[in-house]
Amino acid sequence: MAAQALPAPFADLAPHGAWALEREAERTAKREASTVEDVRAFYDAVFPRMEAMVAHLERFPLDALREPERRLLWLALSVVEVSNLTERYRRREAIRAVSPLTYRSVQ
Amino acid sequence: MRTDLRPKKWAAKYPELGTGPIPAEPCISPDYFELERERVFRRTWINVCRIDDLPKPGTYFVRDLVVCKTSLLIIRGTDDVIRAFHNVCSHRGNLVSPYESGACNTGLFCPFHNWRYNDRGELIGVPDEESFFDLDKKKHGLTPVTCDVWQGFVFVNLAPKPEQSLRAYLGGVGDQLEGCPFNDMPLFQTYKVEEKTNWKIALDAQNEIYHLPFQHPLLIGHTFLLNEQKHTRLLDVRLYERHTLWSCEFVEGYKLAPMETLLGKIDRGGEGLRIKQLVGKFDFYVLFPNMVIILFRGPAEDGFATYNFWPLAVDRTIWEIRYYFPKANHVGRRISQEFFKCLIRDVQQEDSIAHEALYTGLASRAKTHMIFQDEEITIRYFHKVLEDHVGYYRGAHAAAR
Repeated sequence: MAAQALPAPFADLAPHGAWALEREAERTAKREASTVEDVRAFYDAVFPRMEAMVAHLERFPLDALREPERRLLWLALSVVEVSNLTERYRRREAIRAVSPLTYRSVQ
Repeated sequence: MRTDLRPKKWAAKYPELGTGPIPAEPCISPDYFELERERVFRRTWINVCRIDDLPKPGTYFVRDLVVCKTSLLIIRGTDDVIRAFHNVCSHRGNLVSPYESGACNTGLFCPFHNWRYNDRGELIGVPDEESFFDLDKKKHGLTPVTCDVWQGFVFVNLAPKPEQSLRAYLGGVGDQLEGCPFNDMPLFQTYKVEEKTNWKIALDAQNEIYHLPFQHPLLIGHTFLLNEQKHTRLLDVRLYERHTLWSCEFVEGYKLAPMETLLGKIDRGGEGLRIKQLVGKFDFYVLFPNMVIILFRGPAEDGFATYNFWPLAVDRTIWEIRYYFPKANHVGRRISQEFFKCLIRDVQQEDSIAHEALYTGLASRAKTHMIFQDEEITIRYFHKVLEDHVGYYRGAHAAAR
């Protein structure tokens, strides 16, 4: 379980730890596999903490984050990943686009 | 704001181009596609990769150029010279590298019989060589392809003797982008998406901003400069010998989404890289035939993107999208870059559905022509340049235009 841990000030976000995904393709797949309600619950819980999360992460060099901090960054990147859905589209029916899974991400 | 909001400025700037409809046939015709293979893609300079794909001497990159029915090996030699070859073994024609990229400082080995080539494409090893008859290895290196590099972009030309140097081919675009700090903006992300469309339909759909408020109302419909009637207006249009530029500005003080407001607080900016060559805030260059370079102004730093539209067949295209940003030096910057990338990616996924719908519609032949407005002038010009190369309507189809 230790490998799954978030930094201590953000331990309360553990129920959303499944969103701490390293690769964009994984974050996109998670968004696609979730209901809008689940996505919104994640966004509503983590978005208000983003400023504090970034303030915490800024204490470390970006290229040398420890494992809990790396996971915290991935969590923040997942909030970015879902923000168009929660802030702009709001409903899946509003999306008029190809499946994001057709976009092969090469990182 | 520097943009002139009045309509019909560009046809007045380029009156010789005309204003009539453009035939749809080139976008759906298998015959036209066959001519494009020979008269466009085998005769012009094609961007195949960037220096980022060849990160150090002794590395290679493979580009499958399906439209030219070949696979190319781009090698950055240990002498730091970039060369291109057909990725085809001299023995029996096998593809030498089955990988997309790799290191070749100890040579490239054809997987079929282990024929070995060095980083200059020379054949240097043949297993059981004594069983061959009069085999002169010096005569059996990889087949070279004309290759040149401009500002870190690697181009090839498949013509036996290219009519122009790369720099002459780039012409006024090369002048305009002289000294652009591309090399200070490393590759951030690549996407590839295969679409059921013609390559020109996909390119044309990107080559204007008229569609933004309609195709992308929730994502960026409010971002680009609009006139009082909420229609987009370009800041500038430049038609070069083959290539084009349009440039535009953003709406000042548009309503920010919560995430954008947050980014304003957490992104302290980076080293503050600015592209002096920007004409407006978003400059869109089409490098004929199939490449786009986009320069854009960001709140904290500038960046660029490239598109390559890779034709597979008349009705199939790979859209390759790449973003390049100055390397993020802190977490807030990294998150800001991720946001911009995700926003534009989601816009592009809305575009992809249009690219396919446009092809389906045109392929029905319900319409013989497409109609372009003044703000779509670069598409009109693209089709003129293309037809100048292809010559479909100069021959047997002259009456059909």
